[in-house]
Formats: sequence, C-alpha cells, structure tokens
Amino acid sequence: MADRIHYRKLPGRYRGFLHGSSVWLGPDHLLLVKSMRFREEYKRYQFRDIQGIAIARHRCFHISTRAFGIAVLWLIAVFASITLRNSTVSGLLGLLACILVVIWLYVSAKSSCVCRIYTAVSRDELPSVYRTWVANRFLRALEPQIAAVQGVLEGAWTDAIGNQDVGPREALPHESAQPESDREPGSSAASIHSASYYFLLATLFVSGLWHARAIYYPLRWGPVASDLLALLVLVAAILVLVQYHRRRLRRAQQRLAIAALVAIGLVYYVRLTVVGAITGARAAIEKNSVVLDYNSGPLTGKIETGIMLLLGLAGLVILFAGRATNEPKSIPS
Amino acid sequence: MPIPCALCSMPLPDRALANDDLAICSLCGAENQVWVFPAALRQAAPVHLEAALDGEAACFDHPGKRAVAACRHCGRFVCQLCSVEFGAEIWCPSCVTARAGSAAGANLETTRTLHDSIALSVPLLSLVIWPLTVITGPGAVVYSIVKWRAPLSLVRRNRWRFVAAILIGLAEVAGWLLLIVYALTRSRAGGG
Repeated sequence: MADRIHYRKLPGRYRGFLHGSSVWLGPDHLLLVKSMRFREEYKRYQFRDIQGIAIARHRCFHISTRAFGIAVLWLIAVFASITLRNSTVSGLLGLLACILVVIWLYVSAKSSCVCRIYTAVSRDELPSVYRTWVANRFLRALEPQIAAVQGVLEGAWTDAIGNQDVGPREALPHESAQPESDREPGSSAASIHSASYYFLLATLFVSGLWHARAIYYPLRWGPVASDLLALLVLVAAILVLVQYHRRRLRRAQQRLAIAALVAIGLVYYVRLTVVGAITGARAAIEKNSVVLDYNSGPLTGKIETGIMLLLGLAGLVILFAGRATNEPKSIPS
Repeated sequence: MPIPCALCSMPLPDRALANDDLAICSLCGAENQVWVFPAALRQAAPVHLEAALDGEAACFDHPGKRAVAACRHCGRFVCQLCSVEFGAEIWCPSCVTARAGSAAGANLETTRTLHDSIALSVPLLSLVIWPLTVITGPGAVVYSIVKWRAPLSLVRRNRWRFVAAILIGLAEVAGWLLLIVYALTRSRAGGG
C-alpha cells in the first residue's frame, strides 16, 4: 500500500487561509505537499535527482492562520475588556499588539526568503521555507540525505559544472516579454498603479481618520458614517481583487485587499459576538435590562483607527517598494 | 555558470559562487545562497532508438525499435524510450500506469481529497451562521462515519479529525435537542 511509507516532517510549514505547504522526508525522496484545505497535491524529488537548492533573501509579509488565530483571540480579549470597562487590561493589550506587529514587520522584512529546489526538469519553489532560520534548519536536515546518495562536490566545482544548466533550460526573465494575458496573476511585471488601488488606500485612510475624529468629537450620525465608510473600503477591496484577477495588479496588493476584507469582517463579527455575549450575561446576572452598545466607547474607535491606518500604511509601503523593484539593479563589482 | 537566482531565475555570477559567498543577482538584486550537488554534473544520456534487425527482439509498443530490456512485471520487451527505471528494476509504461504488482506500492499518487478535513470544517464553519448547524451537525457525524475508511493524507497518520468532527456534530445535535425541549417546556408552562 502507498500509505506504508513513513515520512518525517522537515522544518517549515506554510499556513495560509486557502493554501498550505510542507516538505517531508521519505526514504529516498523529498515529498512536497501543497494543501488546498480539502485536497492535497504531492510532488516527489528523488535525492539522486536534486541538482541544487537556492535561497534568496526576499521580503515576505505572510499572515499565517496561526497569526490570524492570535489576532482573533486578541480582538476577543479587547472587546471583553472594553465591555467590562477595564482600561488597564485594554492598555496592556494595545501595547502587546504594537510589540507583536513590530516584531512581525521586522521578521517579514529582514528574515524572510524564497527557497527553490532544482532538478534537471523542474525549478520549484518550496513555499514552506520562507524564513531564513527555517531555511538553515531545513538544509541542515536535508543536506546529509542528499550527500549520502550523491556524495559531495569538492574542489573547483564551479569549473566542473562549466556551462551546464542547473535546473531546466528556460527563457531568462529579461528575454521573455510576456503579453498581459499570458502573465501569471500577481507577477512582478504587473503595474503597481491602478485607480482601484488608490481608491482602496484613500478609503482606508479616510476611514481611519474618521474613526480617530469620532473618538474626540462624537456625532449622532457618526456610527452610520462609519458603516458607510466600511462599505466603501469593502467595495474598493473587491475592485482591487477584480483587477488582480485581470492580471493588472500585484500579489502584495491583492493581499492588502484580502487583509482589509478580513479585518473589517473580523472586527464587526467579533464585536457583535463578544459585546452581545457579555452584555447578555451581565443582564442575566444583574436581572436588569441592558441596552446593547456595539460601539462601546472610544477604545473601539481606537482599534478601528489603528487597523485602518495600519492597512493604509502597509498599502503605501507596497506602493513605494513596488516602484523601487521596477528599477533594475546595477551589477555589483 | 548558469545557476539561476531563486527569485527571478537570472543566472548568478560565478565568482561569488566559487567563493561560497552570497551571490547577488544582477537583475533583481536578491542575495542568494546556493547549494549545488553532484547531480548537477551528470549529463542526461541522449536516447538512441536503434532499429531492430531481423531476429532481434523488438519493443512491444515500437515494433521497429530494438528492445533493451524486459518489463519486470509483465515481461514485455521495451525499447530505451519505453523503459521506466523503477528503483533497480525496469518496467514498461503500461504496468507503471496500471500500478500493477509492486508498482502498487510505488506511491505515484499526486493528489488526495482530505475527507477528514471536510468533516471537521463543516460543523466548525457553520458556527459562524449558527442556525445552519441544524443540518451540518448531523451531516458531519454521518459524513465522518461514511468516510471513516477513506485514505487519509499521505503524511497524516491518524483520524483525530474524524473523531473531533463526530464529537462536535453530536454536541450541535445535543444543543438543538435541548433548545427544542426547552422551547416545548416553556410553551406548555405558558399555556398552563
């Protein structure tokens, strides 16, 4: 039976909302598992066929499902502390969130990478190896297995390889000018400029500033305006997703749109659930009728301000980083 | 030497690779660290299909070509093009495709449906719109029992997701029964 092979997991796992990936060590091969929630795809690389592995430092602002879980727990704790009017806990939770976000930004920008495995017929990315420390552990575990089968290259191996290709022969990136229709969605050849993307950034900033203003100058029709602005952000995010699928925007921009959709959905859902549950419990304990206040004070506004402005700033970073990568680098001396 | 950049596939400069330094891609500027193995030196042997002469064994699928081996499983003669290396053995393409004999254990599957993940996700996701649990709770229990023996992921070794799906499904069914009993009791008390 096929199930008889026992695999050992190698370091690294990509945990996405829809896609996941991991690499497993078999007796004579490497198994790349790509998971699409309810289906898995497998690709095998025999140790004797692996020609090389390359790791390139590259920014990777991936939000894993584990990080998402932490964000949900944080939101639940924050809304609970707001409803119970415990400002010390709320402040500590705010501080904790700031520290976590700074750590995530630093790790994503400075300690991330792309790992690719080369055989004579394939050059595949290993999505599960996207942090540099994971890449080092991954190679420490894999290198002896390949060396046991193939031996090791010694001496002036660069001369020995000469003009042989590592990986399959394909058109070089600067030789292949793809038409827009052939381009992969999210490719770096797509434009960074788009009216829908600017619209998304504008709605994020306006929404963030509106929530900030509403903290200090509450208006009677303020919550309605907030909901309308959230609706505009949703529309803008959907437009960005449509443009992405038309191959006109980049992956980072698509991810920002998804993050905006998830953040708005999450804030509304968690707020409704937690505030409703705690207020209901309080009413039952005190045997009083309690009026539900889903906006529950300035801290809710601060959370929404923080999320919207953070997403807006991330959008600006994507815009400027995208402009920078369009310019070719000079050859180092 | 054409070792490609992991990010953009542009060949990396030789000198840095020879010195085991970080190789900086001249196109995208990414810092690459490269590990090269002896397989990179191995030249792929060109396939020469020789014509079978009179009296020589010919390939089953290409009668005009000389056979170079016999399939380990079915014994058919195969030419160099048709011979599939299977560990230390040679197989014909039909036996490999049919996963006959010991090829059945060759693990050629490229995809599997994860029934245990489906069974667990349905009752959990339906909690977001909780009235749906009236269908998804019992549905998850039935689905888990029906698919209990279905093959799992190649790399997962146990069925805890099925067990969790059954428990959550049963909890949702119990919740609905309690709600119905409570509603009936209230309505009777109100009527009396």
